[in-house]
Amino acid sequence: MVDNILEVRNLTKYFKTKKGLLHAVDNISFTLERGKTLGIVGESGCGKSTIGRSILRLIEPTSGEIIFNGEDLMKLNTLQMRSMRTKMQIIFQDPYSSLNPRRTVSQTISEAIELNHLIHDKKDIEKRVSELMDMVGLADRFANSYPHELDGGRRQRIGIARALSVNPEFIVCDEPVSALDVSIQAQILNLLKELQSKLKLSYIFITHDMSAVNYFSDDITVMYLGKMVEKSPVEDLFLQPEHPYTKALLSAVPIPEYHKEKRKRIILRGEVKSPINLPDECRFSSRCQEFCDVCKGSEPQLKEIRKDHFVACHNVT
Amino acid sequence: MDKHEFALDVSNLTVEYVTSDGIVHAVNDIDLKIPPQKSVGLVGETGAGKTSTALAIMNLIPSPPGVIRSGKIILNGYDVLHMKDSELNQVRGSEVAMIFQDPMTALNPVLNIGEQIEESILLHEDVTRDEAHEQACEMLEMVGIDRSRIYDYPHQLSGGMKQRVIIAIALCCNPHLLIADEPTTALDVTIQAQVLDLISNLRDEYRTAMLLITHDLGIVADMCDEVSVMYAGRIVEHGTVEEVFTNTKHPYTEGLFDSLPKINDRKSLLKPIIGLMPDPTELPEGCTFAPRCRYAMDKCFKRRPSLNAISDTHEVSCLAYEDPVFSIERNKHGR
Amino acid sequence: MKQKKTKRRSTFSEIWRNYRKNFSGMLGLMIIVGILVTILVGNFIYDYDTDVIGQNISERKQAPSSEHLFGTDEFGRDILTRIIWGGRYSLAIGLAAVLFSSIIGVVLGSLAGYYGGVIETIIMRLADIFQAIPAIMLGICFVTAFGQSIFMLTIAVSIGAIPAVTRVTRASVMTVKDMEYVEAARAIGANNFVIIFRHVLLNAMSPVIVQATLRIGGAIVGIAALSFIGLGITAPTPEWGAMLSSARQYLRGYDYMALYPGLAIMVTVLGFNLIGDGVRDSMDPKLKK
Ligand SMILES: Nc1ncnc2c1ncn2[C@@H]1O[C@H](COP(=O)(O)OP(=O)(O)OP(=O)(O)O)[C@@H](O)[C@H]1O
Ligand SMILES: Nc1ncnc2c1ncn2[C@@H]1O[C@H](COP(=O)(O)OP(=O)(O)OP(=O)(O)O)[C@@H](O)[C@H]1O
Ligand SMILES: [Mg+2]
Ligand SMILES: [Mg+2]
Repeated sequence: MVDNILEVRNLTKYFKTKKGLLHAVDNISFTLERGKTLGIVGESGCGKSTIGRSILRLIEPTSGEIIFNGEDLMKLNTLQMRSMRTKMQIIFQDPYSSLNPRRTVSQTISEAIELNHLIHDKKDIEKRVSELMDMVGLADRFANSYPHELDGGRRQRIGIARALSVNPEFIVCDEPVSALDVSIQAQILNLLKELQSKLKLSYIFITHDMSAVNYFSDDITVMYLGKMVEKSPVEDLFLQPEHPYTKALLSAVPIPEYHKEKRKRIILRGEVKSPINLPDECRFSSRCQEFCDVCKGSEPQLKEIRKDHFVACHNVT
Repeated sequence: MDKHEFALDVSNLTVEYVTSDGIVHAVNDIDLKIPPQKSVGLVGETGAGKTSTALAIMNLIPSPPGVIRSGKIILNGYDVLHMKDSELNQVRGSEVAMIFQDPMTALNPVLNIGEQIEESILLHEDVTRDEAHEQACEMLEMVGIDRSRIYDYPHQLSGGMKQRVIIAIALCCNPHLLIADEPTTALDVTIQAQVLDLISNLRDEYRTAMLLITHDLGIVADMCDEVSVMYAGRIVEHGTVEEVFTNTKHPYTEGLFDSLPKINDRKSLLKPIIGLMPDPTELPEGCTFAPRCRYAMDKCFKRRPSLNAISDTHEVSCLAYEDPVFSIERNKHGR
Repeated sequence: MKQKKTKRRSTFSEIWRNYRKNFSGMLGLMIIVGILVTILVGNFIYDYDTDVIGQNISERKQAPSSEHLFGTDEFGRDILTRIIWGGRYSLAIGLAAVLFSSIIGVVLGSLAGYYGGVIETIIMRLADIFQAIPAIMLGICFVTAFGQSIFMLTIAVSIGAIPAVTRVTRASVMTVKDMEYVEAARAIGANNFVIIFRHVLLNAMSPVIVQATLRIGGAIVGIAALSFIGLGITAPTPEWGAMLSSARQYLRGYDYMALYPGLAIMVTVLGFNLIGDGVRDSMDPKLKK
């Protein structure tokens, strides 16, 4: 039997806005096997971060079940949830706004240890902090630095150390490298990979960078306007994308290789729909090239078209 | 219209910012030439001095703190650095136009997009308001926005549409050179493809030369004829896209390629460049890349390399090539 | 978003470095330090009973001279002495009032900003109501209702300012609480108390501090105004507003009696406002350009 660390069932999050209900995440289900990485890709505003935050219940999902290590998180009260978060952590996208500017590196890293009373002795806490800093590749001399004295890559390492400080089993990485330079991105991606095998971590890896998700994940889900449109093991998805959006997404990725003839790209036309008060039709229909009448009729459901490969499109069978 | 050898000819450009923390050496003695109708990519990481270069070409460096220490910028025959403000304004727009990175802030929020396009047409062309309006409608259609939206305000448009409006404004006066400073960094991949596609089509149509600033080597491969790689305010390698991509010479360029996950090959490990870019207020003597370079030798820390030609079109600035048999790893594997 | 690479020093020394370059700010600081030193020195060289309130009928209403630089009042008391002595009331009550209104306003504002919902609605509607009444009216009502001690006076001067502080704090807290480090703190198990104090408030304080500095001048005017209409500090204690008030009857012919207390109020308020502007500019260097 497979050992699933996380199972999300019918997760839905609507935000109430002045104009109406905003469908940020709509009826998403997936499972994450222990020690594996699930990539979530999709464009800005499609609900990736909302999924990540809902799983840790940093925002309250509208409905759905989140089963972590066999326990339904939605049934826990605030206090139980607080202690549960020592097993699950999150790394944020923006290394500038994710660190409190008035706290030093060591204060930031040790905060979780103190708050959760993981270690009591001051000396031991210090030792643990320097161990964590070492683990993420931060030199000891930065212990008393303030975040603004450090560059983006180092700040992201602090965020990682903070997440690791409670010994989590599972980490949501919410676009951990998209604010960084390419050479620094590679450093951080390698670090996360290394930590995964060393500490047996399971990841949800949120990104909009197709090359990074390919490098990093085992399974991948593609989101569009709050819906999952395709889900499959990574190799399969890159080899044989099925959903028109996934195809366009893959074809749009610029590849850093010389090619004499310019590559033919799928260029999407039309505009992205507003996520507010969505009608019952395919959400991608406004930009889809394979658009036909059935697409207007109803919203397509996720179907398994071959083993482990799910697609939500009326035209794919 | 005169024929000039280059649409843009920059030589010995040095830009500094004088701040209370010291002098930021943002651009150090660079040369950059763009032949007419060609497109040149300028690649580099944050703080490499790409935007400063672009602003200098427009003579728009904020001063203070910015100072153009030295250099000569000839833009289609005009000596940009020695022109009166009134002449400069004429040149900006009609000879050279610039697209900025952030589409959210480049448009005026209180004017509708039609007015903004018209304004720019009226500034540079001798037409009536009605003609300008008609031209603005045509420009909008050209960038793929329905002309009925001409009275929309910027906040009513999506990011990709805003960037297309900005492109319309930039191209409405048919400039000889388009400077695009990370035109798609703020956009999603599918929208990016759309915008890049639009830029290349319009360039073909208007025969505009382009300086494309980006940190994405993939975009360079798609959009450019030549590429200059910039590091710490210097150009470390320049050549045609084919040469730089298939016969990479500079260790930094190699590092950039190795840092990128390959979309077709998920097994090979990323090889990041170790360390960080040097602080631009205190650049090391010798090669600025030496502290991060895996091939660095003693001399690299002492002597500053200059840009040397390898072929007619390919130049590299690296001391290791003084040894004729030297080759970087990337080329050894015969890729 | 791309990363910025700017080196910065610690917040406080950074602010001080900017402040030092601010000419009017430094001028304000010099004025206030000068006033404080004078008050301090005055405390030692004057005796309250003889010099400050002791009457000397033979020297009534003397115009400024080398002996009495600012002249004397209707009881023959040296006006300069009384102004120097009176400064302590203006400054002490002004500072205390601002401190008081800031504390209450910050607490209310952070509750409203952090929790939102019903709490926010109640607090903000109350603030609206109080803000609709002129501050001086509130002060008058308060003193009339609760009596005229210095403590009550302090509170009377400060209540008018509480809604404004609440508003500023709420706005600032609302921006800070959406920062990712606040979410990160929640993710590592911090409770609301830790989050509000350690992560939100400290980072939300700068606009509040700026506003507080700018309000000291207003508070001093408030005390003077209450004293002027006889609800503040009463004779014979030499409060500037009270001095102004009693000089009112002698305006014709003895205008210096009103002039100097008025000038004292003006210079002090000016000094604090210059400091306030300076603090604002040096906390947010972008504002200047
Ligand atoms: N607190 C909120 N209140 C109202 N709407 C929200 C809130 N948070 C997110 N949204 C909306 O929910 C949708 C999904 O947002 P989310 O942040 O999850 O997107 P994302 O996929 O993470 O995007 P990005 O790539 O830009 O980070 C967006 O339309 C967003 O505007
Ligand atoms: N107005 C300014 N004042 C002081 N320093 C500046 C200013 N503008 C830029 N710099 C500095 O000059 C250097 C080069 O900046 P520039 O904006 O040209 O880099 P860039 O290559 O465009 O980077 P990015 O990819 O982040 O846009 C940086 O170190 C930057 O901090
Ligand atoms: Mg997000
Ligand atoms: Mg730039």
